[in-house]
Amino acid sequence: MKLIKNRRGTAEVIGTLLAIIILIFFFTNVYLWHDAATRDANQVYLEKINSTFTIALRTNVIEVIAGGSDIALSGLWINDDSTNMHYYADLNNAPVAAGASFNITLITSPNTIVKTENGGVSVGYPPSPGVSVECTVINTLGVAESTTFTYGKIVS
Amino acid sequence: MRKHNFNKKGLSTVVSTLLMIIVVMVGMTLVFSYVTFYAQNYQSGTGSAILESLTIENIWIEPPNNTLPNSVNITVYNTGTPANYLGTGSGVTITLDQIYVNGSLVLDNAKSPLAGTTDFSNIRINPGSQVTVEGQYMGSAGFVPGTYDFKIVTSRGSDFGAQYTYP
Repeated sequence: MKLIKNRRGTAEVIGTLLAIIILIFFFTNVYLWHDAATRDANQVYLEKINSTFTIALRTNVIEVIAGGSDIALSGLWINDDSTNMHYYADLNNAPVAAGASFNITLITSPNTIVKTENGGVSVGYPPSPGVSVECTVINTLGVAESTTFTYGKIVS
Repeated sequence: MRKHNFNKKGLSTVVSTLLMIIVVMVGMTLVFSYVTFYAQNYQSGTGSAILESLTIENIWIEPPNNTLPNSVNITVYNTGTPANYLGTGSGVTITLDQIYVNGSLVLDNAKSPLAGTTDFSNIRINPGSQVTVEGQYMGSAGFVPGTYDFKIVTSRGSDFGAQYTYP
């Protein structure tokens, strides 16, 4: 009864309670957010290491074969070291189902163009006759595969 | 009633208690606002470094006869997933800070190469997007045949590296 009537410590009690609430709010907020962010980052990393693919060269076609997960192709780089030119073709996140293949047909063209055809794409670029170029395919998660290609085999 | 109104001792106790409570509430509101602001800043700033995911797609060292010697084009791709894509939306917009080649800072050719600025902070890359930056290597010997270590540092403090063999 004496304690209830004694109001001298009311502000201190309220202040302490509020301070504790704010501290709990802050740490819970930051911890839960960090936990969710870590989970998201791990998920992306997991998808990245599972989204492997291989590329095989057949005459003028780069065949992309997806591994155990669905992938989406981001772009194709054609690096010609003889002329020191690098060409980029946007593959517009072309989807490739797990285990399926996707054809990128190389054609000669004055410009780097991309056309969709028969479930694959054709990519044109201005080639240098008789020299090897390095082709690198990249998926949307940043996984890259490279192969070397010789212009002489391209059909126009 | 009359006696009650003139009892100033009791009034003072009530007023002082109320005043103390008001002061504490106002103070705690300010503290709470600051904590909320700090938490949001942390989440969108340094805290989001964990969500940064950058891939160096392509490195292209330009021929020696280029107007600007030792120029290099670096194409980087933000592999974070944009919102509502794959259901995660974990990506964050990445702001570049500086680029190193074999430990030497690279000058930003897009600004004024003569000004010698190594600050790439005007380059922001959204999730799922790519950007090509052109820089100038300031190593003493310039680009001679060999293997080079490229490192890109973001404004949140993450760094992403790649090796490139020239030519």
